[in-house]
Amino acid sequence: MPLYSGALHYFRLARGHWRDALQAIKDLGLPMVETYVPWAAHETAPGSFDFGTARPELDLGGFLDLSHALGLKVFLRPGPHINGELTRFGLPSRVVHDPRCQARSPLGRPVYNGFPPQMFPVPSFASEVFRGETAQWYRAVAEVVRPRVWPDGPVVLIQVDNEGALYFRNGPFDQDYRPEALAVYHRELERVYGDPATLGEGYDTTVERFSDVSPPTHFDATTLEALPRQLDWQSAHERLVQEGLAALVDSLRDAGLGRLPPVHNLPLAELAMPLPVPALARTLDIVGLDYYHRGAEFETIKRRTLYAAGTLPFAYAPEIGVGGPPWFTSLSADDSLFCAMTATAFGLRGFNLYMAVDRDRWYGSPIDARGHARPRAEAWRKLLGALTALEVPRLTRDAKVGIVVPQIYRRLARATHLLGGMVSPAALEIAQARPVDGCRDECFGLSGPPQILFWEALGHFSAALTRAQIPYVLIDSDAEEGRFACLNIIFTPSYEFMDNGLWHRLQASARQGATIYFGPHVPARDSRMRPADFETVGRMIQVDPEDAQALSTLIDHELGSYASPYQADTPAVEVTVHRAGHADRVLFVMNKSDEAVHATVTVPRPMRLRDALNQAYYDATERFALLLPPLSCRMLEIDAHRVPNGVPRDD
Amino acid sequence: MISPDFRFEGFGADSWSRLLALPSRPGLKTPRGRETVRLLVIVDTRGRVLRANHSLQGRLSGLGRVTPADLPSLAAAHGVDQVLFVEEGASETLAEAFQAQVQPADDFLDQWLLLLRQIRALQNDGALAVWPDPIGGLPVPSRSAVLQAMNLFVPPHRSALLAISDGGRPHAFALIQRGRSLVEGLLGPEALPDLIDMDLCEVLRRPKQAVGRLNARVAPVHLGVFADRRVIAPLLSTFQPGRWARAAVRRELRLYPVPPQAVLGLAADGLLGALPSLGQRARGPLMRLLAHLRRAETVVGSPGLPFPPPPMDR
Repeated sequence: MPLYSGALHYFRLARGHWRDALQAIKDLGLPMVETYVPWAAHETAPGSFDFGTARPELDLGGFLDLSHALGLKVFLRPGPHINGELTRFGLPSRVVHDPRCQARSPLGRPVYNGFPPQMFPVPSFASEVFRGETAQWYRAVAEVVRPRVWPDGPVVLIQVDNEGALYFRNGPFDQDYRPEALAVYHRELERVYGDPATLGEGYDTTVERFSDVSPPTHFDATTLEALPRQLDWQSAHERLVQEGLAALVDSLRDAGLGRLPPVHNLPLAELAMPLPVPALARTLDIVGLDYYHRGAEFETIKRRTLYAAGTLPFAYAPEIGVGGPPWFTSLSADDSLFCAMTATAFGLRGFNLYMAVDRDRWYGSPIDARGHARPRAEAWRKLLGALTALEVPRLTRDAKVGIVVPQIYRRLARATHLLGGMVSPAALEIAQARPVDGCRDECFGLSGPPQILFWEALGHFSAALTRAQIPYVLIDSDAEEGRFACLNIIFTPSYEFMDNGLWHRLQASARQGATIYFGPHVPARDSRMRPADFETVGRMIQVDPEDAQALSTLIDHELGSYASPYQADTPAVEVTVHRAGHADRVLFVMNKSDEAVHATVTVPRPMRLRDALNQAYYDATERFALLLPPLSCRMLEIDAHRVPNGVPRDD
Repeated sequence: MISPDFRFEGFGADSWSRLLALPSRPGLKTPRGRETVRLLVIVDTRGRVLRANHSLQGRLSGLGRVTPADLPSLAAAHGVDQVLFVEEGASETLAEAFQAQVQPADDFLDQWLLLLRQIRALQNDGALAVWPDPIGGLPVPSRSAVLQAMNLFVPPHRSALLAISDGGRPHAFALIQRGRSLVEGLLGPEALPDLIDMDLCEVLRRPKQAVGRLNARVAPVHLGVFADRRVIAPLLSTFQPGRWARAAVRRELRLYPVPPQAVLGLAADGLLGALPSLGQRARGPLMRLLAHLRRAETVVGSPGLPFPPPPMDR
């Protein structure tokens, strides 16, 4: 079953409209409905829950049964954090205001999330009391859901928590200084250093027990040797998220929902957040990215999808914004469609339309709250019909070239962020700046500030490969070994220090025949800033990412064979091809500029291409021309069995 | 300023975009029509620049030490329209100060006012500065001052209606509902017809009837604004004395009901607009405005207004 679904909040609709709304979702071509299950709405008193007895719109069981009867699968998201533009993100007031549940600031104060319509103190991912409360909530949900798990019922997927970015208070020193969270920090130190003496050596102090070590509350490193303490704190944040989500998965299993694959969704600007994406993918069955982008954010949509495609087993969007909340960037219907198509073009293989059905504190859903399709629903119906008919989720986009996103430089960028959590790196990126624009411009005795330069290097590598029309992906430095093994060519930013684990992976890839382009520096220190030997093996070649001319020349001379056989004649247009087995099946042609473009696309052999949405077709012997409106994407079915005059080919 | 029970519904992507697009966004463009160029300067406690970022040129180096007093010369030297100056740790100080004082029962207005007071304290300490600072020196308003200001447009338990046409066709609609203190609802064009059994064309044609039904079925309407988008857009985008009054006199802008505060506001606007030419044409726009206002109707939301209703539904 393709992972296409639409969001409907049963608890926000009149029960009498459920059937029409679910039918409308099905009519869009979606095989699955997604819904949150809001803790605060169902809880009537501590430990007591209403699942429809008092308020009919809270009848979760009835909603699941109706979905089942209509032939829809269900993707369930019971939180505990669900956002959903609900006050306090759907958490009970008694829970968020319980000091035993709260994350703590460096001065021991509650940490407030600033979202409308009321700021609230955020729970701690490590709080045992909060975990206990959540486990109780999950057990209550499980009572309703357990008998309705596939194949006995419609529920096939379950999500733990929502956009686990520490409730968007993820500045380097925002949180979490409560004792249970500090225990996570100490466990992380133990994992990295093994014993307190080694840690003391690294920190240039005496350490008898890990639990004696206090985390930094501000950035005070002036030398390279002082950086590990700061990096370790950032690493501990990642572990906090990972352990917090793992605990929720355990609670689900304990509640009897262990048969359901657990999912988690990452927010915008995931690379600027303390999110250990590959580690999360090992903890959960599916990790995906949420998309809320205007068409003008083409490069961001592309970068995020290429990162998901290169790093995760399956590039999936648990939320792709169709409309949005009133207090976020305004998205037009065209923005949403362009985002979904562009992300698919770069490798997204499933998505959940959020929101498919309208509700309070939302605008722009294709279906209104009574279950009537709005005019814009037709465009989604056509797109979903085409994606399903062409079996796009089964197609592959070949990319033998990868650009590594090194975790250690990401961590340093977070640690050196100067604007705190009120204007976090992620907030900068969401505001169309770069997440490194708030980093201190300090070199720590190096030739440049790696915390800023690495981001620029990623851009330089991407731009050079895009210019040469070479398909590539972005790969997290901690991704599974198998992800590296797929790549013939690997680019990575490297500075005077690097994680030796990454270097070993690069060496392993080089030994297996891959070519590694790294630079601008050969590392000489490891992640703990100790002198180390970074030996090059095989074809490991130093390059300067900032030398655009040299990079282009190198790519043209050395990587020409990796260029796509489908080439656009203008830099305003990008194309991607997706294959079924060895056969080219779908060609996406995207105009990323804000002006209409007449483009010509070269093809490798004579073929007919049919627009999957409007049925227009193009016969191409060597190339074909098409007009692309501003910020638009065309999805073309490739029929190589027809020669250009439309006659079936003999072979 | 919205309440924890705030409801927002009845908007599609197009209708929401149209509403947001009514005022142009002056912050994005300079008066010369190009994108605003910004400079971010982050310093340590001794004024040493830790990071300077130019929105066009990227990282800047060699700025040495900077204080808030240097921002105008810095702007001139680097050709920028705006400078934001932040001292290292200001964000953390702001967060801690806010978190120390915020109370669980505080609503969004309390929380924002507290945040603004802390920001002002940082400005006073020289840890935060913006140039140019259009509201520099103005005190952070009290809660009651904000609520009084809201009362001008939509008092407690009342509503305000915005109905904008485009060449006679429905364009943008919003009904704002005020609760006991804060705004409790923002309803869009898809929600209105069901509430009052009138389609949007009828609302534009018969505003009096629409307001009457809203009074009876939703909440008394304190202020209704009816206009074409080509009239309202410039009014919302820039303030030029006399424009609102002129639009009202010409009946391009129709206010119904019109609360007494709006009458006074329009009169003041008309006076400001007429001042330059008052000598030559003393009975000009002011007199026409007063004549128009005398025809305004007394409604539930504006008790005591001594004018008859405007002939809006004829």
